[in-house]
Amino acid sequence: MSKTDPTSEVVGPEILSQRMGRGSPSPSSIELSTSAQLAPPKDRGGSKSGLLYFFHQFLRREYLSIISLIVFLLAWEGVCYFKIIGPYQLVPPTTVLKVFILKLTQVNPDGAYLWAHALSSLGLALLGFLGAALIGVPLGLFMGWYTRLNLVVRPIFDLIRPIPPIAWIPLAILWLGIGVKAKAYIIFLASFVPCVINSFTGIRLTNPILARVARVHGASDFTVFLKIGLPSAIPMIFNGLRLSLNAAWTTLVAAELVAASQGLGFMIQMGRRLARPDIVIVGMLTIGVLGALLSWGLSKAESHFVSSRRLT
Amino acid sequence: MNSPKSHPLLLGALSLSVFFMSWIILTKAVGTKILPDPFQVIGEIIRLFKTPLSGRTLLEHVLFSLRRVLIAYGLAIVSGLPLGLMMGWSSLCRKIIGPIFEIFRPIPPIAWIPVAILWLGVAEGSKIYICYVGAFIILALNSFTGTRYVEPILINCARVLGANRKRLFLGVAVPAALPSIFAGLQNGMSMAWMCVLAAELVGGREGIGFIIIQGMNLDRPDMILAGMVVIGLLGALMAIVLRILEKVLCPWRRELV
Repeated sequence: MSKTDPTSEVVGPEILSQRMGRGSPSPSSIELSTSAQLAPPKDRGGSKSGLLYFFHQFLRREYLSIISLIVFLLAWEGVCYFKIIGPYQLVPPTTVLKVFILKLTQVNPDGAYLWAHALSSLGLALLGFLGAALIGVPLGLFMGWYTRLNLVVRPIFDLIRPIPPIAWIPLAILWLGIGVKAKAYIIFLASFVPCVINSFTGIRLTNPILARVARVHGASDFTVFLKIGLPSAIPMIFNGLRLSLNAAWTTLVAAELVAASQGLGFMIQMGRRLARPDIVIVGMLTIGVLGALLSWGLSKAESHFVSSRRLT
Repeated sequence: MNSPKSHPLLLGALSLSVFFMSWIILTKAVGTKILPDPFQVIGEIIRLFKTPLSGRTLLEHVLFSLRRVLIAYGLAIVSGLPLGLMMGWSSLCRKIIGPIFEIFRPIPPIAWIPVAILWLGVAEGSKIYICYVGAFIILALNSFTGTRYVEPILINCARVLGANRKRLFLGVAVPAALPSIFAGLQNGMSMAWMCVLAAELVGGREGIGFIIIQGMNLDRPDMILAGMVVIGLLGALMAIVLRILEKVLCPWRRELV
């Protein structure tokens, strides 16, 4: 096996360099790996020189990432510096950083500090998300476990599901005004659907043998649900929660764009009205970073929860 | 889990009729000015088909939205799929493009709306761009994970049998990634559909999103609900078309549940 690797390595970069229109990198300097090649025994099983080779490649590839990021930022800066794109369309990364720091202590031009906008958005998103999780996950689980409930709820659920949550925004605003209530309602709807679907799927994937064993030993249906169905559904439930959180965050931004008086979506909308690309880009990046942080937090919670389950 | 095989259809019909009954009762309770009943909504759809809203009938508005979605979707397929495949297959591409991709990935496509309007104006360009971003990220991500996590056994088998890298890629990795790619095609389509709505809500003079925002501005919940029904129907229709396409093109996909 270890002999076939180098040959594929030699073939690989040539194809790649053709595809990328580059010069000819020496075959040994670039490692191409498929998931098969990343299998641990192969990389570590070689001689000492193989290990060194691997280490060398590892370093080299990390360098590539950093270089590509630097090139990207320099290109961005350059595009602005040479006025290829005007200052009312795009501002350079250095300005973005400056405005970001400034916005932490300044309310202009949209009436609130950056962190105040961020906190109001985060609070709303979490409110809608938690509400949806508290109702949606049990509903999905029960729908998966009790067929009769599924038959009753399914048709209504399927009727409402194809309507994207964003399409609810005008109706929600008409019903509940532009305040917290309308947004919480829209976010709730957006994160409700993935919670239900994934919990439903998760509990349907319960190993029937385990359920039957428990039943033979005299467990009641509800005990089987609680002790066997629920734990086996947990990975899928978390999958649903992750999708829900994403949907909540996206929908929140949409709702704030359409009608709001605070929040990050409102901030970038104001930035657009005032033709201030710096505010818009700072807001966009903040939205991205906070979204990434939210899903990171959830995956931390998941790994904690799942591993503690496994120990018992 | 005692399953009543007897009357699944009956239960479904019962629950739907209860749903519509309670809708009608709720309408009686709060008044048609807040919640119009189902018949009014159907009447409004028919009215929108016949009488133009800001110069266009419902059909024309729908076609406007569909055109934007399809252009963006086509562009996303042409650019996102190859990018994802390349990133999944070669670690060089992954290392170069990966970090830049990671910066943009967590930004919801809807957050691009203000920038897109600054860059491309409120006309077609910005709306197509937003749908494009939405579909592009999903397509690239799914084709990436599809090719990245091909079962090593498949790759090793093909390699033992003497396949070169080109055949490994075209003959093993791409077909193995196809289920994931198709999932991406479906999610990308629904994402593009959602994005076009959001873009039309924020600024636009035509399209299905314009109808519902106009309903809000005119205080006409029946118009909003009519728009929502049409949106839901079209979304469901697109999902069905893609599912049929998948069954034809990718029969080896394993179904969950």
